[in-house]
Amino acid sequence: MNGGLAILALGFGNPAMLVGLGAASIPIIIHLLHKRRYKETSWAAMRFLAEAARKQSRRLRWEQLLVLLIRCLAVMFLATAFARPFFDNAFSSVSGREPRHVIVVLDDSFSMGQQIGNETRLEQGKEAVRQMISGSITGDGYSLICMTREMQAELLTPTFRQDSLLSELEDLQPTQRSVDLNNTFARLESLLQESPQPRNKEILLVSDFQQRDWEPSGSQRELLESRIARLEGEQLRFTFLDVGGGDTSNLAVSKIKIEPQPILVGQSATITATIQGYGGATLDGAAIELLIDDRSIATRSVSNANGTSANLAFVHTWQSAGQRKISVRITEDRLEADNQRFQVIDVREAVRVLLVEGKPAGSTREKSSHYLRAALETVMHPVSNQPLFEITTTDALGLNDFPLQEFEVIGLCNLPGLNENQTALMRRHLSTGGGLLIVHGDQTDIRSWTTTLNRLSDRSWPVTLQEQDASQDEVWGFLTTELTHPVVKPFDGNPGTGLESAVIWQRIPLKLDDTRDAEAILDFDDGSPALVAISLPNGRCLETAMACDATSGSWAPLNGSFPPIAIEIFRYLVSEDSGDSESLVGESLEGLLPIDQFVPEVSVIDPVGERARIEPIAASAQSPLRSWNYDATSRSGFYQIDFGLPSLAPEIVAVNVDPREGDLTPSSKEEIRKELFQNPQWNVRTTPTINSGQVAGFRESPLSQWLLWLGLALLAVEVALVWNFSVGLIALLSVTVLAGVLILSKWIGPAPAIAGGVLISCLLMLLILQRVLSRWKRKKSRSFF
Amino acid sequence: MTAPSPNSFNPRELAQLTHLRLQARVIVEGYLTGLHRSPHQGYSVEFAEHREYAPGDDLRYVDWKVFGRSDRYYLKQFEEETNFACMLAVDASESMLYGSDPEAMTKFEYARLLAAVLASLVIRQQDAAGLVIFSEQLQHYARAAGNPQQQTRIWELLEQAQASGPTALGPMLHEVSDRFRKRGMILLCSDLFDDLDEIRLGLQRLKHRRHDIRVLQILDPAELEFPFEEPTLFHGLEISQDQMIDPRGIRQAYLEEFQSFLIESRRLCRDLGVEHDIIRTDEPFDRVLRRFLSDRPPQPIPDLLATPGGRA
Repeated sequence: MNGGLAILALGFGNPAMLVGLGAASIPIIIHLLHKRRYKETSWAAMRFLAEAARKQSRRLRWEQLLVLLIRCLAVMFLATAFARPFFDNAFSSVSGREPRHVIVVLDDSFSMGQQIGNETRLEQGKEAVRQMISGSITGDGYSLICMTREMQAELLTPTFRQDSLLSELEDLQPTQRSVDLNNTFARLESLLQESPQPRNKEILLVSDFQQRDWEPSGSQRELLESRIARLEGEQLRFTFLDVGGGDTSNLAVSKIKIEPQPILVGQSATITATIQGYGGATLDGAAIELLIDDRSIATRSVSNANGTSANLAFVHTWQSAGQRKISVRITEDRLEADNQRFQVIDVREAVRVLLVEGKPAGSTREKSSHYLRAALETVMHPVSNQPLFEITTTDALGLNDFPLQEFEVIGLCNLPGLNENQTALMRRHLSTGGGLLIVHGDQTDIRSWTTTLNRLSDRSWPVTLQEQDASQDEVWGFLTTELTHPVVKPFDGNPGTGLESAVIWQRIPLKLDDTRDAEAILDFDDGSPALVAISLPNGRCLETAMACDATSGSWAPLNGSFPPIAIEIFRYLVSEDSGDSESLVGESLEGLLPIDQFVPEVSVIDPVGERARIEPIAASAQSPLRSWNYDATSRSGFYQIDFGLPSLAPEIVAVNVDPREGDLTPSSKEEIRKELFQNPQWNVRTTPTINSGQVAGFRESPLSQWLLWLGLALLAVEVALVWNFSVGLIALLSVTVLAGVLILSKWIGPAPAIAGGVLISCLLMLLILQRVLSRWKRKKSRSFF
Repeated sequence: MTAPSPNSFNPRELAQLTHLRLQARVIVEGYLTGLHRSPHQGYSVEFAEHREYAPGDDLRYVDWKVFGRSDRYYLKQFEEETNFACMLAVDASESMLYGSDPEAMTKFEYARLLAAVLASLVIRQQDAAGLVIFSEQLQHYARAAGNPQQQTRIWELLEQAQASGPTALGPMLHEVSDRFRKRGMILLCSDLFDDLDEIRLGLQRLKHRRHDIRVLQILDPAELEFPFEEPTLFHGLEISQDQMIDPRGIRQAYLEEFQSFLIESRRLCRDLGVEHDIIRTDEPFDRVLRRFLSDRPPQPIPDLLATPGGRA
């Protein structure tokens, strides 16, 4: 069928069942056998029998033929229904279809590990695929795409061997990753472009169709819609194989929060684990275990849970400083992957802060770091009563001389800019999870800083520095109406604390380019950001629009709100909360190596103890930094990064599953079909939810259902005809009218079809009434005697 | 003989008895048990004919007047004269041979036994009973007589009778009319499977002679119900015709035809003032006799189409 004209043809999902069509001859055979078997008897009232036979013979023959026809049709309809027919404009005929390219797009996220009976959803999905691709012909091509970001076992180059696909399917196991539909459809797009079958492409989407993945909101939805829409122009056939049946209740550890921050030696810390109950899961009674440094510390049960989540708090005190491993585990739940969550924290004796002075001045008060230092020095360790912040001050030139890895936070106070080497040092500091405060002021060279900031991260810096305001007379205050960030939260709803009376007369206006990566914590009263938090993969960074000295305004030297905000800024910069910057399974781990030490090799030891050796590479062409990258995080847990040098302590990184993937709530496939796959060139079929590994049929193609119902209806009609021909005839007419109305409603709309059906029914009722009346009259005439 | 049980009237049980006489006696004895015998009334002796004397004859009946005139010994023979004569006409055509239950009676056996019983009852009442057995032709004929030998004669004739050949009910009724001139009662036991117009003419002739006529239409239950389910090859009795029929499809039409026939039969009889009754061959004899002898109204025509299940 190389011509361009697509001919409507019939295909069958289960052609083997067409053998059942042969059963349609059974009624005929029975009829013939029945005719050959008869009894004999003598009969006296022959003339009455002969007369009745003469009158009835024609009618009788028609009746018998009708019953025979209905029997044959019923068997044929049922056999055809079980063969799951569907209309297809790609097949030239049932027996001689042209080769097709079957692309199996398989959900291998951890939600597919949910047990249904003795099997996982993934096992059922694989079995459904095996059923769907049975009956291949020479020339059929096969590809496999996994819906998680991992390229596990994929067949991106089509294979013409079905056993290769089956072998890959056999080996496939659920990952601990989440579905990434954007990536999936991007790969599908490129695969379709290289398809060996330009016209006959069939895509099997095998998934549990979680609402979270398939019905995203906002920009995620737009992205997905645009990604799927890019497949337009292709004549595709999609088949949704839904394996999202069974119990959707699931428990997951969604968050670990440790307070207060920073975490200090000897100070009691509260570890709060959030347990999320999805799909109506019962939280009460769930046993939760806390492990610290791989040792079980405590086990508690959730009680009196209200709603879909519960917080369980554990109190723990660390006696020594260093990196510590924390994990919280649900001891018993059917979906294993999201039952445990991991976090690494730094327990500190004190917070070491390096303040870099950018404005040399004779007077201490004129130094840009002075007021920051003064504010931090007021904070004491709650147990040892020693200063919590160990502050070291240097100037821009001295920055190169300090081992920066010893400092948790670096404050760049009113620096004109950073040279390339200093920029690399800051970048490395941030990549190792350090905190950075950038204070802009009268010394700031906007051009230099713009270059510097864009080199601090792989991504473009989300904040742009703008030229200073020309007007010298203008002053600004702070907007105190939206104080939601933890740094300024204490001032929310507390008028009279001084924040509203601060006056700023010199600033470097900041502009947020990307609100996803930058958040204005504090705004000036003209709406311009005064304090901005920048999201980075590892470390934390805050940027101010004004200097923390007297040159920029009265806030730092005179206003009472400055010291607490300064302290909260540094607390925030050293806090370790499982937030946006956490590593998820499937994401790569990366880091920058120190400039001053040569690391020939980095070893990564995964949670099961397997060691991977990585050769560091140059971070970028201009940068002196060398980086390492590990992209094989396939399971959650603690990964140890070993640099192989005694002077560089190993790092521990926690990698978690995305707890949202544990929400097994299914989406509506009809909605998905209508909203995402509405392209008229596409033939989209959905199966009922597969619970037993059997593909029950296609809801989208109701032909088999129609045939099934029609076959069953004809069987009922046959029984009625045999019992009483008149009743059977009425039943047959009813079935015919009903089927006609249903079919016509597809073409001319339901209202005219129903009207036509009612009209025909009324006519039939009149005929029947007439027949009944004539019978009644005859009976009345008989009753004379 | 001991009093028979009520089941003695059951045609199916009576069919097990081989001899007609025995069957008839059982019914008659059973029926008469408990009945009050009425006194003989209107009994007289009327001369019938002479017969030459033979040694051993009773000398009381020698007609001495004749001896005086002719010098020969003749015996006077007398005929019992009654005020009631009943002629039993039994249809012995081939159609009467039908019986749906091999263990039960055919229509002919039932008619024959019914005639035997009625004859016995009539004669026991000192009335005269005669018999005519016919099919296409007259097979047997016995004039109506009331002497005790008549019962034996009738029973013998009934026993000898064989059902065969087609029916010619109309001509036979004419024949009976010619032979049975004295006004009396005529009991016709037949399935009436013949031309109703011919029957009408025959009955009209009999009515013309002022006979009291009763038609006992004897039918097999299968003819009234048509209970066949499987395809059946029907071999015609009287009519040499075979018909292969799927009974389920034709049952309704057959019953309509048969119902019409019954209605026509009843209408014919009613028009002529003839009493018509339908008797099923599974109907107990006592019920039939009670209906017949006590002048109860005849059974209404059953509505054969009333029950779709097929049991009228």
